[in-house]
Amino acid sequence: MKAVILAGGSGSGLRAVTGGKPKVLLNICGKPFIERVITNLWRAGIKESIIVTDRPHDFDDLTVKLGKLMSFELRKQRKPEVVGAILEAREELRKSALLVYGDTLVPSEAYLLTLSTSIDSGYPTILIVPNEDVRLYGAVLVDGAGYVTEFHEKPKKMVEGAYAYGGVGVFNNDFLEVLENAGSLEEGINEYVKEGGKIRTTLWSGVWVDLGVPVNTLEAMYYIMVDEFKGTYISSKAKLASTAVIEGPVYIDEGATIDHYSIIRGPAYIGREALIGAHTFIRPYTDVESLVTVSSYSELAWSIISDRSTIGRGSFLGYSIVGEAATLEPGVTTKLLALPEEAGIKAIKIVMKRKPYYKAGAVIAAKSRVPAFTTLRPGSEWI
Amino acid sequence: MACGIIAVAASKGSLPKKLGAVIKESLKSLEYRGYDSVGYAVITEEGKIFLRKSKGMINAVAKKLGFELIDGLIGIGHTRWATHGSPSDVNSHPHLDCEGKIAVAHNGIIENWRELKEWLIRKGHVFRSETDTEVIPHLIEEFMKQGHGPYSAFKEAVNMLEGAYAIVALNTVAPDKVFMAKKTSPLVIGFGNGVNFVASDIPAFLKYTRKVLVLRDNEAGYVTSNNVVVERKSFNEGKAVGWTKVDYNGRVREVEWTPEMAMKGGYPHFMLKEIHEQPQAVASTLAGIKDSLEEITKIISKADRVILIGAGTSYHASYLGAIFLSNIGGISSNALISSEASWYRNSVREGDVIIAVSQSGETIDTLLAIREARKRGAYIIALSNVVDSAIPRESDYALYTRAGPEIGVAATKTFATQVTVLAVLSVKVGRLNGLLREREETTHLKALSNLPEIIKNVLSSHEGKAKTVSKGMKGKLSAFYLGRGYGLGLSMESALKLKEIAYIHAEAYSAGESKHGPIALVEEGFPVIFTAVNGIECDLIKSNVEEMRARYAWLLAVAPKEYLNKFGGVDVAIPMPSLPVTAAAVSYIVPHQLIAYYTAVAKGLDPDKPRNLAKTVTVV
Repeated sequence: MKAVILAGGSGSGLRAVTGGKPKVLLNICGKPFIERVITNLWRAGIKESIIVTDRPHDFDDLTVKLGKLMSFELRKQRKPEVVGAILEAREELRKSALLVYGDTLVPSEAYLLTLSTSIDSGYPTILIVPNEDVRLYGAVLVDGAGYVTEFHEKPKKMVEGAYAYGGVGVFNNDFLEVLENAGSLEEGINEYVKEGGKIRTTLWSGVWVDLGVPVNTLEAMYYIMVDEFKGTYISSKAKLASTAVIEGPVYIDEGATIDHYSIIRGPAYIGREALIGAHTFIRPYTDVESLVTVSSYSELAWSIISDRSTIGRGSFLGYSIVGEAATLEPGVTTKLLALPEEAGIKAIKIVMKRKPYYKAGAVIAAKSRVPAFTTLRPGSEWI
Repeated sequence: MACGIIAVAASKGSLPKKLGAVIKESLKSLEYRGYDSVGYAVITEEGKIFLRKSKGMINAVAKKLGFELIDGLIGIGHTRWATHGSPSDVNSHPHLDCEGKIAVAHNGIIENWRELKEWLIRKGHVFRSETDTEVIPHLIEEFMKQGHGPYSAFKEAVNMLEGAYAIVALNTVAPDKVFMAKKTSPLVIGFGNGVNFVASDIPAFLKYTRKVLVLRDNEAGYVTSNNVVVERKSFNEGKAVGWTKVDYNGRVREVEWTPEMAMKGGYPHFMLKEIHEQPQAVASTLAGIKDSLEEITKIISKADRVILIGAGTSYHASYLGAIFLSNIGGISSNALISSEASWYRNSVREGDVIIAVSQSGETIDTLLAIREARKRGAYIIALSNVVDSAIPRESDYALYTRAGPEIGVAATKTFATQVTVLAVLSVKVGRLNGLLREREETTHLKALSNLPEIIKNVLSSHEGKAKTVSKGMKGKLSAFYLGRGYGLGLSMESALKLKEIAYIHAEAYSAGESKHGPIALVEEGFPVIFTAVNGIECDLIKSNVEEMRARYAWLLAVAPKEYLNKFGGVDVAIPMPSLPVTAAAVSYIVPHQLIAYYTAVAKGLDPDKPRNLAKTVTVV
């Protein structure tokens, strides 16, 4: 069985963090996001895949690394939007290859479910996911028998009674012919359905993470840690000071150094050759990627620090994402308490003492430099 | 309704065990489609058809049918879920022609079977059963008499059929072929090594091959041990004009999944599938009880009192039924838990009507209770999902929900259909007793007949919310479900769902009683879920919501959308459509089912297989 993986786009909400690289290559807990997608495809019995992307060479390392799992073909996307990417692989999709959005992480069961439903029903099939707010994902309206009645690729407002589009599907010849003449996936699906074509849906109730806006990457990290970190692992090649405190599931990779009096409260990930300075406090759901330096007396909570970045002495970062090779000078702090209704920012909701708090940190662009003692507002971007 | 069929065409040595054992195994894996009667036919070495069939579940009748003893190279099998007529040996499939040379198993409904049967009887054919299927072997026989070869006769027969069908047929004239045809009902082919299969669904042969071809409507053909031929009926202006060969090679697919996944029909769990089948299940149930309504309404309206008994979910349906019958039907009625019913037996007498509610029709406590009541002269009505099971057999009258097989241990669609039947009955009884005006009756019945659409909308508009609620619920250790009247019945069922699949201690209580004890447990963040079906119930529980809010409980409310504001703000509001109480009592359970399901999934539990529980309880 073949899969077509759509891996184009730097992600409008994530461009600053990715620095123009495909967002699916963003490292989370030591691996590019898409690596987990590919592993799950392999678990579902996929042996061959076509990766469609506007930057094929960015994927060279990955395909070499994962070559043991399946064979890859990198194909350059020439026309824009999802429909452009889909049509690059129309031949494979015509033969019922599985279409997978590389920025959507689901367990292998969801892939098998989509395949089995399409074979059983004999119709093109898409995965749908219940979600209270479908605006970020694409909205699918479904009839009583589970067939698509309407599709909104980028809904501007709430669509009543809609499911989120799960980014997994199986198509057929008739549908692809309609799609070729349509300007977008939305037009293609709606046109096909209007002409009497049937598209089956399959409902997925388990874990589903879509890498859309920055807060999604923090959610993705959360799911990955909950799913993968069952205990503490410390590489024999890591250096751990005798006074460091490691609590809960923590993964410390090769060559990492944890200095004296630092506290790492898991789930947390410390990447290859990262340095955690003395007296630092790493709180749950923090992902420090490889070659990062976290200088002494800093505190990090629910954040992703991408490869080769530096966090200056005495900084505090929460609910934030730092792009690759960024430099935070000493004393940079984030304010977390957001009023998302006012500012229109996406935040993580936390309930304490019955009161909901919306926490959002900052997004710090790759290769940027934040001056000493800067205070970053909730939901702000530093470019 | 679903049946399961299987056909095997093997070459010598291609099967690891006897043909009978292979057929049994395949039927076993199709049991999720139906399981009240089973049968098979094989062509023996002497070139004769050997046929065995019986009512009952496969394991129960396997010995009697002697699956393990029968060998051969070609055979068909069938497992049935009776919807019309009772399951009996003679009505079980496969069916034969007059001379016992043609055997047919069928899934679906032949709509024009009466006309065909009359025509065949005029031609001298003798019928043994009352089923629609039996016309097919006789049709084939008739066309063979007219000079057609076996395949051509089969196609001619298929041309005569109207309705839905998936058919497999054996013919001793062509002892190496299984003939097949499909319209609407599912049929798939499995390509094995020296053996080919035809079945209703992929799990039937997944042990032997993963290469499958899904047949499309109006396709027919035959398989041998090494060859598969498929043809498509061509039409001209709606009339069948001929058959053209189909090149199916591009359609053959290799499947990777497990048999269990294939049975779930595109859902990750049976429970979610069954929750989503509720619109269909309620629609079938409404259509199915139409004919019985007049008679049963008369019986109930003459009763001195009605006692409804049930266990688990069926008790909760009974509880709602008792309120319906009292409130709408104007009949003195009570609901009892089956296992507690014996304490009340001395008061049971002639003139009482017992309604025994049991999904499986085999629940032992309920069965024992009706035996006792019957001895004392009560009139027994069974409400079951399985035709001719023990409880309906031992009752004076049997009513059936048509929910189809329910595999998930947590009852979902059977609850909705049970409550639907009891609601319709109560409305009819109320009208007959003069308690309801014609206009009121119409309002209730109209809403009830709209239930499929209503449930569908509730499902799609609340599934996302249920998933969000589950994130908060999964960390909780305990929860209250409060309501009054119908809201209390629904709370009881909702609490059971959360308990049994999400392993969260949940207690349903009358909202009015909550301050007489349970409220002592409530502290900050304690989940309290209120359910109310109309404005009256909302007014009644308003003060209870206040009490809980004052204790910082985590408040959820399922109530009609225009009354939700009476509660002055809750943490999670689940706005429901405004409906008459009858339709509300059926549809308001849906968000609760979803919350329980998603909470179980969020906790990483398998909602289909809760620990310590069995689907049917047949021991005291």
